[in-house]
Amino acid sequence: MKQKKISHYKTRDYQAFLYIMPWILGFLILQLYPFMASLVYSFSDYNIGAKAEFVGLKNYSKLFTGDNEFWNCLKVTFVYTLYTVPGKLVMALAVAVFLNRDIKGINLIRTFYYIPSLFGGSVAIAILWKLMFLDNGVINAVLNTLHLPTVQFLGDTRYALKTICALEIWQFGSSMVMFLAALKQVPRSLYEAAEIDGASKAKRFFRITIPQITPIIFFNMIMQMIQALQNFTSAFVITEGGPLKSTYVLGMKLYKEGFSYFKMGYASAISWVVFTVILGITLIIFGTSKFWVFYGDEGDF
Amino acid sequence: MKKRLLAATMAAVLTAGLCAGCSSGSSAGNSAKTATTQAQAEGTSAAGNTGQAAATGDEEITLRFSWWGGDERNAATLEVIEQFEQLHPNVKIEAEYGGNDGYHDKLATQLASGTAPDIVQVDPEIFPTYVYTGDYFIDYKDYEMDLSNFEESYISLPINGGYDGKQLGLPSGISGAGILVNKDLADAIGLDFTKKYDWNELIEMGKKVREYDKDLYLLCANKEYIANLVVFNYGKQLIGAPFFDSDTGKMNITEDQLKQVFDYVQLLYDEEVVAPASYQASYSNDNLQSDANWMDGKYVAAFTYVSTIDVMVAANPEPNYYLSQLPLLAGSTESGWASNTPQVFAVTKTSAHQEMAVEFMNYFFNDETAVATLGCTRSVPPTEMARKICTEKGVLSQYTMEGADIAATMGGTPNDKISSSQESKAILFDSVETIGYKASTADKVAADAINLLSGLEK
Repeated sequence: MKQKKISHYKTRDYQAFLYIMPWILGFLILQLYPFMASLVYSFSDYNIGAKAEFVGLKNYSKLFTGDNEFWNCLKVTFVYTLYTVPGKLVMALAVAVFLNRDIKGINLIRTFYYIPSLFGGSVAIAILWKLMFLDNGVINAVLNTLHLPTVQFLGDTRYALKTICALEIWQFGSSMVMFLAALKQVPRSLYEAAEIDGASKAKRFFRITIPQITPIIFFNMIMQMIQALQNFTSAFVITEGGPLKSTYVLGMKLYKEGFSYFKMGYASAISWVVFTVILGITLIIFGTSKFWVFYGDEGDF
Repeated sequence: MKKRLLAATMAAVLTAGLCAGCSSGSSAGNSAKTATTQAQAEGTSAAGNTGQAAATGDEEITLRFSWWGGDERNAATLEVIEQFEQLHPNVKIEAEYGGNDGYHDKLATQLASGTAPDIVQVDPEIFPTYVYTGDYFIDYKDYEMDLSNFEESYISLPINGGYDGKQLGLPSGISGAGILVNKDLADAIGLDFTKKYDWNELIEMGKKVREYDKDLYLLCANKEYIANLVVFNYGKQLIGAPFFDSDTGKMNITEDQLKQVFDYVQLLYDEEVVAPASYQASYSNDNLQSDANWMDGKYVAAFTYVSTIDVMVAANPEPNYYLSQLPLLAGSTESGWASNTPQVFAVTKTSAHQEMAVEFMNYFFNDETAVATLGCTRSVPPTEMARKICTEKGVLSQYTMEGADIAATMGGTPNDKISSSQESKAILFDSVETIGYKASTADKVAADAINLLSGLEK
């Protein structure tokens, strides 16, 4: 349908801005200003309490060439993302498939599985996780009861990162709810047709279910990836970045540089690198989406 | 037509809501005003009754006071706040307290953004970083603060709040470092911490403990304690000066000297004087009292500060204890540690009520009731008057007194402002951890640390 072109606005039309002014002000003051300020600070030597001095690209060049810790942080952050995003998606999908059935008390079971997500990235839950995985924590107590040796989940470089990844994966509820909704949208007729043709359960899952819910897989993947690359709480509270920086994610380096060492300029540069990495990966995933994401409406909205 | 009618109805509802909102807002404003007036009136009458608040006016004042601490300290501080509020009904003090983790990170941001509380408790080793990066704190000497109970020689030290003749902070107590010895276990193994001993003897004692029982270790420690009490002390005893020159900001310690220090740290782990680094990782920072081995009595001794002795004892109260000095490097005249305060209290310049904040500090440090209430919740009190009251009331524990006496005998050089910065400490914490995990050699760790520390030179 051809839309009628609006040639000019009347004064009355501008009243709309008045109505959305609270949002506009919030956006300008609380989002755009800090966003742009951090970009400006990233080009300056700005210590908390001192005056910012413009230093050009010095922060970025130091980050890429003079700070070995940065490359380790980048590696740790990528490994964390590679563990948690697929882990969370598989876990969420598996539980969603399990819960996508009509049995007695299913709503209660669904709520039960969603509870971990309500806690979000809270400090309290991270402390609880730490207590559980201590050498004398409940997990090791269970292992010892089974006559298995104590595992130093927090002190061993081989397990520390996996322990905090487990916390992230455990909070799969929000992805699960979306998968559950998507699974309910898959037409039953497709399964019935496949069943008549003799397709196995596995084949039905991989040939019907997965292609039908790819838009939700895509959405969850993007959201979880952004969340994983920005991780901070669990690394900070549970392992404090250790042992031997094996859980020192970029979010934590950013915090340490900015708030512990007062180098706000340098921390701003790190935040822009994190932003660029997230943007880059998001664009790549978007670019590949046309090969594996199928929209029932051909992508038109 | 229907749409128009609906729109008109909605508009009417919205307008009515808006008007109601305005009117309730103004009435709320009026009632708030009334409440304030009432409170002011009550404040005036109460002031008249007590005769104390009159001097500070009837203006409604809200102060914010932040500190970190355990339950006992929090309860005592809150009680003192309540006492002060009763004496000054027009003053409300909002307490902002919690754990030590992240406290100074938050405080740094608050100071920079001008939103810091009126009165702040600060770690004396971090205080210089704030003092030299901004003009954040008032000079107590410019206000009516009674400093007569403090010893001038003590409070004039930078570590205790005295900077270039200004009193920017006031010490909360007298503290220092030492070793808390499980007497029963030490006697059973035949270890004597009461005499002076050097670092090598400490290693020998550690070996003896392992020979006695493979489940026991000599020292309860973690990377932070090893960096603070071994690396700094051994290093300062070795070079006879702090790691950085306080005036020039240049490094005093060389790579060879730091390597020597790290060789010793390596020995601590190799000879199993301390528990493995992977075990210590779960009990980092100030969490030694949570160490399961300490609670089970599997350490002969623990590194400690005077302010944490009682907490450590409470975590395993069964055995008898005594306090011992830290080791000395054979032939060194520098002990590496000086008796100092565990915290300083400062009043921020952004405070809208600096006089009242100082008035509260006056009460906090100089009022007999307040001093008796606070007891030794922040280590041994900083004033003679407070110590006398606490001794008379028996609130100073025997171990804390012993610890303070031990600390008082250590007249070493405190850390310089660069060494005590969080960044410099983080470099040394990482170095100790790397050695503990045997992820690199002491040579390489020393070279890397020197490289990073040189970046902090002024």
